[in-house]
Amino acid sequence: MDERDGRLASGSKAGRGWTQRFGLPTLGALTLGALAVCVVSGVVVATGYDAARPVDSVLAFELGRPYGWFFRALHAHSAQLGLLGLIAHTLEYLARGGERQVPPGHWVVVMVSLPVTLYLMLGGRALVGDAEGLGVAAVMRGLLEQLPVFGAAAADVLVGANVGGNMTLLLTHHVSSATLLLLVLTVAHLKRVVPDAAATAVALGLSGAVALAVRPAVVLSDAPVALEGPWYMAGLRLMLQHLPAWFAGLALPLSFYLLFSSLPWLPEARVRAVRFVIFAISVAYGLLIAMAELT
Amino acid sequence: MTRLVPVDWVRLVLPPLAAVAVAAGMVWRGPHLHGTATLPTVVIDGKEHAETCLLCHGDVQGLGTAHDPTAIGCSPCHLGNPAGLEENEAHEGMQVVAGNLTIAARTCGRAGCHPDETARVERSAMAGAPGLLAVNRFAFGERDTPRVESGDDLRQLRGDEAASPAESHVRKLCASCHVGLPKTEVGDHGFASRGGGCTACHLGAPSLEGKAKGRLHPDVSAAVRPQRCEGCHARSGRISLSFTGRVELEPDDPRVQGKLPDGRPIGKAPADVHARAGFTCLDCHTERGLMGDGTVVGHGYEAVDIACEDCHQPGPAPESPPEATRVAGVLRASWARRGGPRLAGEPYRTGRGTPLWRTEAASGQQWLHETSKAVFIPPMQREPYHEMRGHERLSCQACHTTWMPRCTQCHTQYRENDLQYDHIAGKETPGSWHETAGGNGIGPALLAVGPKGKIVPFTEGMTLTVEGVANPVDRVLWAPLDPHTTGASRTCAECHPDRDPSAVYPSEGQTTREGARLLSSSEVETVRQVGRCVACHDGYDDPVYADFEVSVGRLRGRGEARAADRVRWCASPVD
Repeated sequence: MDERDGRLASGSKAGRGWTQRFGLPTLGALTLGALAVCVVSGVVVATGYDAARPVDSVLAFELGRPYGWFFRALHAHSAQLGLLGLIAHTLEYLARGGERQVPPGHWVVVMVSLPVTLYLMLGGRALVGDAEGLGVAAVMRGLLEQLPVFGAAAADVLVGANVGGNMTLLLTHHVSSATLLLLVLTVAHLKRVVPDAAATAVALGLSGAVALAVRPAVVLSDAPVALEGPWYMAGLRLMLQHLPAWFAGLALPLSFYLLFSSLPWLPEARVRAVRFVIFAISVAYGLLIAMAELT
Repeated sequence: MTRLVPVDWVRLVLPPLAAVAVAAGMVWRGPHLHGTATLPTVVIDGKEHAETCLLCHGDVQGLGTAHDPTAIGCSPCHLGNPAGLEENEAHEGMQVVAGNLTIAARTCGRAGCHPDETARVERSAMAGAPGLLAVNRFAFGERDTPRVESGDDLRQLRGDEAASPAESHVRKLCASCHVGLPKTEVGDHGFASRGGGCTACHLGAPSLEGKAKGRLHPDVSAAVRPQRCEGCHARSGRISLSFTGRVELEPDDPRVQGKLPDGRPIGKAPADVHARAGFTCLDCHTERGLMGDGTVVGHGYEAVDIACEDCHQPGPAPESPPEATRVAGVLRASWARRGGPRLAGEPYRTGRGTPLWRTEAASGQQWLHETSKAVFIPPMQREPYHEMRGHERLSCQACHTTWMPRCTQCHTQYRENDLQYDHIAGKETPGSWHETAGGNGIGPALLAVGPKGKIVPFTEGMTLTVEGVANPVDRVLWAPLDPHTTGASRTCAECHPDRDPSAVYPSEGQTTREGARLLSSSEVETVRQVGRCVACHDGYDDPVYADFEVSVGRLRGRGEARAADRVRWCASPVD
């Protein structure tokens, strides 16, 4: 496989990883496997979903459909696994300087797929339509509205008002437009969409094992309990408690993202320093997540 | 890259292994993990939503139709997570005692349920007992007047340490009765029940038709039983006891005939005429009088909405607040649901316009809360004794109180080194208060000027000594009290003694309400002057009372009359 043509599979130098030492698939392959499990289980889950009555339909699916509880949990946990794999894969790739081994266009594809993935993850949580889901939708909307000029329009197009808990717009993006876009980006990234069987098996085994044991939360409480949101947003939640929303919610993440995106175009002399900064920020955000989850 | 695992076994083994493992797990856990195929739903505020609580608690019985869990679920009252499918998940944030005022705005007071009532209760005198705190601070000499000041609210007391002896005394002895005190244990604790916000009053025995088949839940209803009031109101003024013909006595009193559940000895006394007719607390006391009308008041007398004349001498009906009319309609509907007789007629109204919804003005009847029976309300007689000149300031209770619970002395000792439970801190803290009552018994109503300027019954409140504190207290205090012992009027001579008036009119000490006072010596003299005449002129319609001052003047002018000595005695100033 030639990295220059954009194919980054387990055999490529940049695509190879430490997991292969144990006979396991690469992190990239695992991520794609998790995506496959997530998409297939998502199709099953979508058959019971009602955007007008999201919570009730989710619960009815869990209770009423045979193995509904499992497919919903599998969908949620495989998505989490995919996100973890994506983060680990990206950092691993970055550590090897992989971004400078691919054509700039390919790097753009990779960078676009990151916010799309985040949007799908957050949208999926919001679609549950429970207190936490509505909170996530509100945060998504609030953050998008911080964008200058087209913020409100972006919020209307990507999140909607979700009046009365109706999730039709988010559902449309989640099951079609955003997912299709991610698949297109995945194809552009890997030149294929069918995952490696072993990687898919690992993803299924891991997320399936968790799905058998842990039910993804549905919170409908009127009690004064703290709504925590998804774990990967915990660091942002902590920052939002102490910093202005425009800064913590928009300026900081956007700066990080732009810095990350600019890597292939930076002068060689500065790349090491920027990579270090990116790793440092990633570790710091990881610590923030840990702090938020532990407190 | 060097592989630590030499064989590419992953590709061969892992896919089938993972598939088999996941499939086995699915079989192990089954197709319906939570044991049902139907999602329980309820309708709250017109909107259907999931209520997974009923998956486990669907068998709960005892709640009447208004709070039937199959209709409204559990979470509207107890919070928690009605989308939870595991016990821990479902119970997160659950409030076992739903009515505590700390949480009531989200439970009983949620939109679509009782938001107005909850907001009113939170501002009511029972919620924070401001008068109790203010009077205690006055009694302990920490303030010059019993006036309620801002911050006099038991809910505003914080921490483990009291700021003063009066506050400590309240925290350890009195604070348990205020409705705002959070209750921590579920269920009906009967006579020992204290605090708990809405559930302090609205909890009742399980409502059941037939045999119990599931777990029992106390009923929650607008039909508040008198027993709910008794836990707190069998103390202090003891109106719950007096109303039903019970009086607290000293242990060695030969009249003792039993004990209260808390061990206090009691004897019998004439019950209130209303009690004898089958009335209970809610037959007179309106929901706005009890839960407040939203106005912050300090004392019970300011909150009470009912007066004798509202039923016995009804005047033109004042305009009702819309909220009072709405609630009266709700209460009539609730009454009908419970099988009560149809109530459609225009009711009597209180002076503040609250409809007395179980009365019917046209027929002069009232349907009783406990028995649903109709009773006729006798109108006040337009006789001379009710319209006598000089009696304008008399309250109904001044004459119609047949007896008063009396506690002629109260010795309180503070022990610095003992531990005692602090109801505000919720734990034992250093310092304990020990009350030794003395002279508990029965006596005539004392009379003085109440806070609204009327002559009303007073009782000891208290003849107080406090030892063990930096500034010991030794003082005599008098408290206005409607003892709820209504009956036939006392005689003229009882209130108009011609000799020592102190048995009826206290002359020394202070009162425990702002604006209240003991009768001045000139007022007492006037009363006694009448007493000179009552011995012979004992009829209300006696002409000498038509204009008493003229009569006395005329008498003084007859110095040489035949019964000169008698006349001279009658007309002479009292000692």
